[in-house]
Order: sequence, then structure tokens, then C-alpha cells
Amino acid sequence: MKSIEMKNICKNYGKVAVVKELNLTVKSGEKLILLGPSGCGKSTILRMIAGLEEITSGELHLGGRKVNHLGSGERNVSMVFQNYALFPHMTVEDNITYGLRINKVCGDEIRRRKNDVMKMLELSGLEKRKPRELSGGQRQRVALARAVAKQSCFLLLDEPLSNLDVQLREHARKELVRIHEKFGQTMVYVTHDQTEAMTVGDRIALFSEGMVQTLDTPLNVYNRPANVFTAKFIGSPSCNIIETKGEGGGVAIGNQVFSLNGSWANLLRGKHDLYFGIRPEHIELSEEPRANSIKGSVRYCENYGHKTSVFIANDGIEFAASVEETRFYPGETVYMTFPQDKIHFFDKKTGCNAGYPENISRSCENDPLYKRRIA
Amino acid sequence: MKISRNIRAFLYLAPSLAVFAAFMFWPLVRTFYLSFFSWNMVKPVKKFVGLANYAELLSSPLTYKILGNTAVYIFILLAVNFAAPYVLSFVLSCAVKRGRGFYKSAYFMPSVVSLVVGSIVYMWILNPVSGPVALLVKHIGVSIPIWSKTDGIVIVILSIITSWKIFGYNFIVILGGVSGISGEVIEAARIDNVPLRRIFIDIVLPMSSATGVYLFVMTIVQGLQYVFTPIKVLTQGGPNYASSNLIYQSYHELFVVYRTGPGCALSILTLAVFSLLLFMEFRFVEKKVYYES
Amino acid sequence: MSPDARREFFLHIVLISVLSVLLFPLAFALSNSFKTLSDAYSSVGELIPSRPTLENYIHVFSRLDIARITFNTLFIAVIAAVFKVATSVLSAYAFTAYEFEGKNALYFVIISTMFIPFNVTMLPNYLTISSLGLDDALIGVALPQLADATGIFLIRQSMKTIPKSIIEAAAMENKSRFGILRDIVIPLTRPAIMSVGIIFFINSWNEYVWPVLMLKSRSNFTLSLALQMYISSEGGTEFTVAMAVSVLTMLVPLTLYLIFQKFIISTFTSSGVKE
Repeated sequence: MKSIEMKNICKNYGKVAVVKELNLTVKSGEKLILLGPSGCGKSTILRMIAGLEEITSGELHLGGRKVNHLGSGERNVSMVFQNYALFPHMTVEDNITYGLRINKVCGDEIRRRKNDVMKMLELSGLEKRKPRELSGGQRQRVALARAVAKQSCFLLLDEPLSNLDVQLREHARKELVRIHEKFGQTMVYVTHDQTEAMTVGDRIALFSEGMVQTLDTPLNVYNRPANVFTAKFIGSPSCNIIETKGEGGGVAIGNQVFSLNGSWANLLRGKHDLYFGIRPEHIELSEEPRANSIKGSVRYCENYGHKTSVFIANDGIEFAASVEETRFYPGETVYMTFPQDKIHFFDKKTGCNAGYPENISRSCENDPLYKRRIA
Repeated sequence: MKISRNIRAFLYLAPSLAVFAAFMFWPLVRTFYLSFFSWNMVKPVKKFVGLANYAELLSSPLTYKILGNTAVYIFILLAVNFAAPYVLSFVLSCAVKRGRGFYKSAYFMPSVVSLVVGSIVYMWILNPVSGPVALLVKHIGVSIPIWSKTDGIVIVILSIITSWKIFGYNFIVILGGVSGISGEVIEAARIDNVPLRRIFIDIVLPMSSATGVYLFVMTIVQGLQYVFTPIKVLTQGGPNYASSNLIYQSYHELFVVYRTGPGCALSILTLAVFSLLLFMEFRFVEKKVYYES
Repeated sequence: MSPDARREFFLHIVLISVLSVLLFPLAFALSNSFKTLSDAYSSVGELIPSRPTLENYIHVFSRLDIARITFNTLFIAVIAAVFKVATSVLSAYAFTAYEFEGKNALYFVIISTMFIPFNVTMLPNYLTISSLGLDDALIGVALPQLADATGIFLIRQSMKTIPKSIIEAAAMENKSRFGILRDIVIPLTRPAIMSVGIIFFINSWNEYVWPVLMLKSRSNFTLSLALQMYISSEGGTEFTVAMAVSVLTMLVPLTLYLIFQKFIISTFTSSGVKE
């Protein structure tokens, strides 16, 4: 009974529609990620849940209760802000306990909660410090501690880690998941970082221009992207999407033909205008031609140490491939192999996924990871 | 290298420093000097009297009346031009979404108008017989006293006229401090169900206190000087010194009755009072003030 | 209406009430300046005159040398504004671009002049100007108003917002310090300099205390002093004419303000924020 339901929610600023007809349910205890490029409306949605933005139309239910008319203080949600929003003139412990004191939580309880969260977030010993005497990571943890100490059922996070450097971010991510395991709040987490989305979320809602593009588990979002936008947004370098035409048992890749196995051919029968998609990390490269491989020449390489991104051109079409080997050099000819169970097709007109053949289908609703997390 | 840099910096400063030296610092010394003499501005000889001028001031009941008047002026000016704009600016920046720019611009308008104009216009608006306010309150059976001749109320009216001029300016300055507070911080408090009143006291006041303290001191220092104009224009300190303050009184001694000694001593006393205020600000308030970054 | 909207509506009523108290005197002066004296007495609170007349303005232009008075006011205000801006810009630049010994102490001393009340300096200044033979002269009124701590403070605040890297980039082009001031710092702080200049102009235009001490002959009067002639203890008999002079006095400052309000407001919004 700690679900968040959004029914037909719209948000306009004057004539500009920022959120369009949003229908979204966050299940009780779930970690939902709102992901998307900046300006896609994801923060606005979070702020509407928090009561910091008015809802233009539609209904918002928290725990089954309609809360449109309630002020932000009356909704009993807690929030971690992007810039932490710590009270700069108060000490760490005052920051954590201020809201509790105002809301007349009894003294012993305040002390207990404060000690708990400070210990949990490794803040012990910093009680009397002011925010400006803390490092960025510590400030972030104080902000989280303040939100957690409130013990609300709903935890909202607005790009909480975006001001941290990479190493700290990794640590903070794990901490967040740990905190959630302990308290089980219903969590809505706004980010533009796909790594955070993949690692923290139970489900990801991917937004573009105020609309949900995808709502699915991280694995499915990665393995079965619902549309071209989703495929390209998740993954780095981003998924190769190539315009193609179905030709008998294969598809055209430039002037060459990539032949499909029987089940793909059945599935795509009658569909001509398509996008072919393959993730860089799924392309296999070889110096010698293999069965059903596509020829191209190496243009440019980026070496990451653990992997190399090889950019390959073929008849005016560009591919990116991520491989472990570093033996490819610009100017060389290479052959790309696309495993039949790793490729995607999208309808050219709608951008929607064209589906997968029965025998390699990854079930959408039965992501084992998701089932375990939610149970 | 170092010396030449000092000299070049000094060249940029020289014009201002010359003006300050000639018309601020030197006069300050001279006023202090003249406070030990008996003189009337025309006599060729100034007579050294030591601390007699100060002794006369401190033994005169009039001085205490003036000090009392000054305190009343300070109190009213602070209430109208410090406390009220503080609350109003909080209201505007936290609870009002539309029309902020309009209120800012419109409130500032009287601040660019001459206080002589303000004095004359208010003299008519508050005319006890035929002014619009008198006519208005006549309907409910109230009459306006002849305020320019009434002890106590005369200070209130003169303070209000002055407030008309400085309210908008103060409002803009304090609004700068209040709206400089990060919106997220206020929102964080709102999410925790902190009532507006407590947000103002616990968060806005401490976080804008740097601006607040500055404005507090400026309201006193500037306000008392601004009040000079309506006093001079409308009451000349009367009736029976009831509307005079430290600044007007020293003008009165210097340029009306030509007693430079007591006049200068009063000026130095004014400066001492202001310095005391400044000192108290630095001593007791400044340390607790929160400065951004 | 949601509770927030209802509260906002109520607050608008409060804000507008305060606003009308502040603006009523301006409207009052304007409306009565277009009334005859008897109309003004019979309907003093009437904001739109039922029988508007120009007779007060005709009176002002025929009986007062208003052109001369306006010129005097303008002359002093322009000199004060121009010099104050120039000296303030130079000083603010010294405090921004240079490191020198005693810099903070000197800045403190200059800023502390804001807290010196005018009665402390007015007698010696009167004596100084008189001894220069400039009493009852316009230039004598302007002379002590050629530098201003507030200007130094405000312009320095604005100069400090220029990123150091811009100055360093210019220095690497081998520009002189003065060249940097002229070509980079001044253009980048133009809004602040402009609004400080306008405020100086307006303040000097409205100045009363110092002119009333210095100027004796009517041919040297400024608008504030001319206005003062229409005051007797009970308000005088030329009330509507006084309103006409009032309107003329506030015309220039209000027009300037309305044109430049955006810059002026933003400059003063940042003025209370100390370093």
C-alpha cells in the first residue's frame, strides 16, 4: 500500500507541455528510475510527486490516496535534492533532526533515528560540523541521512549523485541500494546517467519530450529495447541502428546482404522498411571472412584499456564495435559477424521493436532479477 | 616592482581619496577640533573652552530629549523599513509566484522621488482640516490632530514620510538577500512540513543575515539623515524640539543659532552613537552571521 | 482554489495595499497639480480632476524662472554623477585588479565613510567652500560630491563577478592594466556602472540639505529649493502650484527610473550581499 499512481498527468508551463498524459504506477517498495536526456520532464514529474510543482491535470495517488490538493508538507514524502539543499547554517545533526523536531517527533525517537542513520551512512563524528566543512561525498550522505531519518514510505531522489566524482558515485550507488534494502521505501530516482539507471533500478522509465518511451526492467531495456530511442539511449557507444530493407531471407547492409536464420525470416516476412540494430559489444570482428560476415574497413579506434571501440565504415554506413582485442588499426579491412540472438529490428515508420523470434525470446514480464527484487 | 605596483594602484585611488580627504576626513578632524572651542562662525577669534561644550550637552535636559527622540525615530524606522520589508520580501519570494518583477519595480518608485516633494505632498495628504485622510476618517468620527504641533505624533508622521522614501529601496536590498537563498533549501523544509513562519525564522533569517545586518545598520544611519529633510521642511524641530533628532539639532546649533561649539560637540556625539552601533554590530552580530561560501 | 492559491490571492491583496500607500502620494500630486485651488479644496481626494486645468503650470512657467532652476539642478546633478562614476570606477578597479599593502584596511576606511552622518562634515565643508569663494555657487554645491563610497562598493561588487580567466587571457595578450580596464572590465560591468550613475544623478537631483546650506540667491536655486518656497507652516495658499512644481521635480527621476529600472533594480538587489 505504498504505491505511487499517476493517472493522465499533464504539466504545462503556459503553453508549453512539459509532461504529456502520463500514466505510470510505481509499485510498493519498488525502485523506479526516471531516465532521460535533460529537459525531458523527468525532474518535473518528481517535483509533482513531491508537491513542489502543481499538477496541471490528472490525478496523483500516494498509497491509494489522492494527493493533488495536498501541500508538499502534507504528503509525507522525503526527498534528496541534486544540490543536497542542506541548511548551511545548521550542523549535520541539526540538519538531520530539524524536520523531525518541527513535526514534534519525541526526543528519544529523534536521537535513535539520528544515531541510526549517522552510523549507517558513516557520518559518526561529524555531528557538529557545518555543511561547508564537509566533503562533497559527506554532504551527499547527510542529505540522504536527512531523507532517511524521516522514515517516510516514499523516497524521491533528484539526480542525487550527479555532483560526485566517479569513484564516490559508485560507492554512493551501493549505499543507496543498501539503504533501500533495509527500509524498503517506494523509491523514485531521477537521473540522466544510464549506469545508475541500470544498477540501481528495479524498473526504468525512459522519457523523451515529456512522454514515456519505455517502462521495463533494466535487463529488458538493454536486451529488448522497445524502440529505436531506447536502444540508442542505453549503452555506450550507443547501439548501431542501420536503415535496411528486408530481401528474401536477409537484409541489406549497404551493398552486402546479411542473411537471417529461419525464425527471423518468418518473423520479418512481409516487412520491408526496417531498422537493423546491434550493440557494439555484440559484434564479433575477424581479419578473415567468415560465414555470413559483413566486410568493412577500420576508420578509427578508441582504446579504453579493457576494451577497444572500433569504428568501421562500409559503403557509407558506420558501425561501432567494442572488442577486447587491440589488434585492429585504421585502414585495415575487417569482417563483422552479427550473432542471430543479439540482433534487433525496428519498424522504420514507428521506430517500434519488430519483435523477436519465438525460440530466442527473452520474456518481458519474467525477468528473473526483477522477480527476485520485487518479491 | 612591488613599489611601482603600489604606486599604480594608488594612482587609480587618488581621485577618490583626494575628495574623501578634503570633504570627509579633514572635516571630521576639524569638527572634532571645533568642538573644543566657543565660536559663532564670524568672530575672528575662537575661544578654547576644553570640554565645556560636552559638559554643557551632558548637563542639558534638552540633549536627553533629543536622544530620546532619536531613539523613537530609530525604533519606528526599523519597524517600518527593516522588519516590514523583511517579512514582505520573504512573502514575495516564497509564497507569491506571479507579479514579482512588477512589485519590485513599483515599490522602488518613491525611492527616486525627492523627499522635499514627499514632505509637501504628505503635508497635504495629512492636512488635519482638508486633507483626504482627514476627510476619510471623519466618516468614522475620528479627527486628525494638528500633528505638526503635537508631541509624540509628530515624530510618527515624520518617520512615515521618510519611510515612504526608503521603504522600496530597503525592500529591494533585503529581497536580494532573501531570494539569494537556494530554492531547494526552502523546498527541503517545505517537504518536511515546516510552516512558513518557521521557515522564515529558522532558515531565511539566519541565511540572509549578512544582508539583514547591513540593512539594519543602514536603516538607522541613512534613515536618521533622511528624516532631516521633512524635519527641516515641515517642523524645524518643533514643537519645542519635540521632532528634533541628533542630526537636526546639530544643524540647528550650527546654522540657526550659530553656536559652533555645541553644534560640533553634538555632531561628534552623533558619530559616537553611530560608531557604537557599528561596533555592536561587529562585536555581537557579525560573528553569528552566515556568509555564503 | 488550492490552499496555496488562496494564500497567494490573500498575499496579493496585502502587497497591493502596501503598493497603493506608496504610490498614492505620486498620484495625489499629479492630480492636484491639474486642479484649481478651490477645486482642490472642495475635492482634494479626487484622483481624476473633474475640471482639469493647466493654470498651475502656467503660473509656474510665468512666475518662476523654471528653466533656470531646472538647469541649475541638472548642472549639479550631471557634474556629481559623472565625477562620482569616474572616481568610483577607478577606485573599484584598484581594489579589484591590484594587490597592495594595506588594501583591506584602506577599503574598510573608504567603506566606513558611508557611516559618517552629514552633520559631522557640514560645517567644515561650508567653511571650506566659502573660503574658496564658492558659497552661493553651483560648483560649490557639486564640489564635495565628486566621490562616493557606495559607488566604489557597488562597482567593485560587479567587477568581482568577472572571471579571473578573462582578465588573465587579456593580460596574456600583453594588454596594459589600463587597457584591460577600458576594453574589458568597463564593458563587462556597464549595467552596474550605468545604474550607479543614474542613481547618483537622481540623488543629486533630489539633494536638499547641502544646496539649502550653500545657495542663497534665487537665481541659483535648484528644484528642491524652489519647492521649499511653497511651504509655510500651514501649507500655504499656493498648494496646487506646489503640486505642479512637485510634479516637475519628480518628472526627470521617475522617467529615468522607468527607462533603466531593470538595471537599477538588479544592481541594488545585489548591493546588500556582502562578500
